[in-house]
Amino acid sequence: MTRPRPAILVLAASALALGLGTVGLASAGSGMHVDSVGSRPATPDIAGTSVDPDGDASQDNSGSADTGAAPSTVADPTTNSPYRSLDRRDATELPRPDRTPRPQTLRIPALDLNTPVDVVGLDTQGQVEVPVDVGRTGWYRFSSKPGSGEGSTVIVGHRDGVDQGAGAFIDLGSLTPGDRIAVDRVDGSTIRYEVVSREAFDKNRVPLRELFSRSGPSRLTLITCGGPFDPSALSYTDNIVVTAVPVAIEAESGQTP
Amino acid sequence: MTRRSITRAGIAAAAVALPLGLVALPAQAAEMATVSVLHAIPEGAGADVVDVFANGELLIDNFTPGTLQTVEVPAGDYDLAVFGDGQTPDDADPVLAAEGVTVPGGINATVTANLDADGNPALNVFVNDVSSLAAGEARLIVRHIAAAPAVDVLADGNVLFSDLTNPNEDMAEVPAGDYEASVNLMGTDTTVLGPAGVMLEEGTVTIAYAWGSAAEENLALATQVISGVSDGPEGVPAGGGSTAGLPLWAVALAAVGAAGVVAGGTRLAASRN
Repeated sequence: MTRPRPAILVLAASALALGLGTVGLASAGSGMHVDSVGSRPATPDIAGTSVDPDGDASQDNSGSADTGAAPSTVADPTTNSPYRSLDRRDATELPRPDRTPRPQTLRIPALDLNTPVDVVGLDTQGQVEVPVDVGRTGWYRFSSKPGSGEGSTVIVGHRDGVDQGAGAFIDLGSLTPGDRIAVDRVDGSTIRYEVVSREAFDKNRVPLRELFSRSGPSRLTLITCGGPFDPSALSYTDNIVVTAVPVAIEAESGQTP
Repeated sequence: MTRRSITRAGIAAAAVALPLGLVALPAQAAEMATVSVLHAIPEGAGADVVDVFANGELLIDNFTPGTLQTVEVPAGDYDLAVFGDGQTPDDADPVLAAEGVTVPGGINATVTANLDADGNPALNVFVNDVSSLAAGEARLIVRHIAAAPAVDVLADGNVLFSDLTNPNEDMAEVPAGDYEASVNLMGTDTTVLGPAGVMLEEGTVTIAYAWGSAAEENLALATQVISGVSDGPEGVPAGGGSTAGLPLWAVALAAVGAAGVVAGGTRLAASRN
């Protein structure tokens, strides 16, 4: 399941974190992260929402929600019209259910990983459900489906479980830009991705709105836990986030990403 | 077309704009607002193809029934006028007009050109609630802009809104998902619209308009969807085991809670990797 090299890195990180003792554990997110590499595609999904890589995205959308259409022409290009046309559509068409097939399997050759993808929602705290079986991953059902052409497809997985050992995403923090990922869908088709970034966020500063946005460029967002373990909170202090962009879509699933 | 409906539209617009306007104004020069215009006057009522002007400038060209146009406009006060196709403020009288509509910066609003309860053309201004939704939720707004009596709105057979009348709205936040929607005459089992399958997508505002005329038997549904109004989930608890089982070594660490167990903790943590 795991390659020797990343395992050693994780060991080193754990030893460092615990070696610093309670001080280090208390100061969550103080530089003991997996290093961030690469960059996510820009997601200008909400007009007026600044995108802050530290996760402090301002969330004032009191009046500027996305209309789902790119700004295009002015109403009358022959005048200096102060009005900008955003979208015109037939309002008599009702919003219909999305028939894009959902993801079924996640494969990451660099991690020797081939794991089932469940459909997950929210727990009673409003957090994303993560499959109880740490060997499985979960597609957040309110995120984009892979191949939908827009927005973030979010798949979450455990780093580990005390009674189950290593989780599917134990080595997620060792992925680097250029690594390949394949997502097989229930109809047998496969979307192939290439990693563009890996980031670590203190859990209090995760840019959740951006990471889960169904608008903006099509992308795959893998999320697990990382950083030091905070025994008072009984959880790791960080989220590790790997972002990948689609490079190919195949009608039938191959097994060599 | 009639002075009465124009006046009513003007008053309605002022009423909705004022409370927000006091907060939002004075507008900065660059402050913009998102305004959608819905053509909801059925064919054959004298407005089949129209042009919409705002403060004398063309806003929407060749506008037809059932169409929704979204524009971005600078914050300010607007005189809206609807003209027959090809006519302008210089050479004709408007089919419909509303004067002094205040559009505060940052607002999201919809103007409807529709029939009032008696079947006369009217303009109405609605402010769209695009405040953030909790993850997993969708906001449904239903607006009665039809020449029809009071109605009940049903979702999956249950009354969601009752006694909705022209030109009013009702709204609710509901779990995102697929619903079967229908509109009944108030207090009866007489369905005048639907049932129709409607998807209420997470993090979106879906606005359903009942428009047309009961007398002309052309009642219909129109929808407007505003997406991107969710902050996303509260977090991703993806380490330290499932919520069903607490990590025992971590419980031990927390219980003892001192640097004395750090060495042991290191050994235990190492063995887990």
